[in-house]
Amino acid sequence: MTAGLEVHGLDVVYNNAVTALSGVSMKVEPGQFVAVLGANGAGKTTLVRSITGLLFVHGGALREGAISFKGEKINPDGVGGAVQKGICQVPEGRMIFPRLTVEENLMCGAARRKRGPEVDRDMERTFEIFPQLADRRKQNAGFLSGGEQQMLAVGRALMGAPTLIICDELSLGLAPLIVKDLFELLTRLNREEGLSVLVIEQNARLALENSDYAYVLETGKVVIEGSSAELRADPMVQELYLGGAGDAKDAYTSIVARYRGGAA
Amino acid sequence: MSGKYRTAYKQDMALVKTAPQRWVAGAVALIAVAAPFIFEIDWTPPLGFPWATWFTAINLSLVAIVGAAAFNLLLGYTHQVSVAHAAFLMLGTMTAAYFGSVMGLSVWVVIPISMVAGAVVGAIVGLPALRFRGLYLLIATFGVHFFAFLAFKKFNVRYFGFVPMRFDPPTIPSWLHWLPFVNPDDNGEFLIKGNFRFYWLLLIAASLSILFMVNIIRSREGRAFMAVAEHDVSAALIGINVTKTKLLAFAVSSAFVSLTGVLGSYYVRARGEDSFPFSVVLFYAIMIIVGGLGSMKGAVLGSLFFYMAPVFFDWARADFPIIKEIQFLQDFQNETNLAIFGILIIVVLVLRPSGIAGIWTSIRDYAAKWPFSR
Repeated sequence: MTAGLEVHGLDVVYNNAVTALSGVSMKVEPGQFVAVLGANGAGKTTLVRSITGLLFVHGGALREGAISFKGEKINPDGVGGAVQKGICQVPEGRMIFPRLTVEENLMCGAARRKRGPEVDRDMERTFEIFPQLADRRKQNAGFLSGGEQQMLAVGRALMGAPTLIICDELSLGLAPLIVKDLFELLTRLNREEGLSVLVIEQNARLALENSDYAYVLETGKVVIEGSSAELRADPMVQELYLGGAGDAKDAYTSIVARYRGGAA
Repeated sequence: MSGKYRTAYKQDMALVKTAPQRWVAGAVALIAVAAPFIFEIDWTPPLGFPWATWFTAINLSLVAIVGAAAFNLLLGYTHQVSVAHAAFLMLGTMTAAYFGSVMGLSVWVVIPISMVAGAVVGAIVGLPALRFRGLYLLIATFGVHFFAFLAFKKFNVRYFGFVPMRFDPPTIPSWLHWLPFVNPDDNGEFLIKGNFRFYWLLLIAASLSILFMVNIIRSREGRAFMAVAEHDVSAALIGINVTKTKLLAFAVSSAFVSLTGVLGSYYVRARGEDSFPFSVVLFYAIMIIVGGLGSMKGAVLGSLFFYMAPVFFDWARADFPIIKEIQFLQDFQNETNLAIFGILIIVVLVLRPSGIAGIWTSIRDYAAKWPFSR
């Protein structure tokens, strides 16, 4: 048992029919920055759902395996259990509350904590980290740009005073510059405050540059794991995950962002 | 001209012609043997230079050396403009995947099978070369590429489903376990896995292939290749069988390209749909043009350069003080790498058509003629 997150031999099946994960084991040590890579349908999101207890919402069930955090078992069907233990998630596709204001959204992130000076201080700190959000405190979150919404989602997770933050597809649909900033922020929080980070990413290059350790999922199994520097030198990872196609797409999005004067 | 003249036919035929050549060959062999041990040293170079990544790049270039030399044999020596290069890489990959991964044969059986398959298919693909020349041949072989690509995709889905093809690490047969550094694991097997172990397999394969091709070039067949390249009608007039020569060039070249496919697949451990786009052919062209057309030395230097330079570029982009501030380079990582190679090709073709190998030759001549160099 480690003090961090430990996932052991996870078997997940959706609707009693589709196997999404088979025998996945992984670890996030305290203060570690871990990346999980994989193509579409590899089971990355299912892994996050199992950790945060959202499996049953999507018709999934844990057949085998156990998840523990800080040595305590997490009930995979108990939504909120993970949050109580200090695991906060930045969900895929941001999922902010569009009709609440920025401030209210952030307050939602602190729902499990008692309102008091500590929460107020965290709120101010979040606004320091994301000055763009501070300008729009009272605006409806739905009116923010994609990048700002993602910042809000990260800020909301930070308001839960997490010891482990899980970011699912942080780079989805965002300009590379913003993604780079968000990753730099996560790295900084990880280095300076010892926050454990688990990122689920399709952009392998970015994830491997920022993380300490990485797992590669493929059709529900861990096919490669190792330190990120090791994985970057692995010819298989280079061939399948660091190839040219992804980069070309990134470059395209960055052009679009720049020349439309978009969020960047 | 280096000022040294050969006076007997036998001298002209020798593999190593002069004493300095012997020294250079010795030095290259020494570096080749020492390199993996140097890379094994656990050391963090200044400014975060990716040491381990460079070892991977060297292994990848050892794989590419075989293919580049074979491409050079066809394009540089025989002047047959074929772009079916990636098609034969795919053929090699498919034979490795079928006989190695699906049927479970050993890599030592897979290699000869794939080379024979490459030679046979190569001779068939070479048939248009008997009728076409230059651009027309290029178009004909272009078709071969897309035919192979379609077959490759179908093959992948048929035998591996919608995931990339997988290759298990090769093993050394038990009767060879007396070799130095070969210490079998608990199962009594010795897996060739990881950069250090693969380096030796790839080094031996690359050296033997290069030696074989150099021997072809300095023999009767090689001279026939060059005669056909210069003028096929005159070649026929002096009694060279042009049909046979062209098909032989295609067969030998394709056999070695197929071998490259096998070696690359086993080293990378996985090959998917995106592994062999048409640009692979251009990459090999970059290697032999920058290295030096019509020179085996050029193929070797060119492929080393092609794989090692991007590691250097990437490092400069990520960690080098001034360069890392340039946003443009950050946004277009692969594109700038390719652009640099593109510019290099133009520079090489305009200023020094003989490539890196030619630079080496002129330095050598300068030294040989000193103090009368100019």
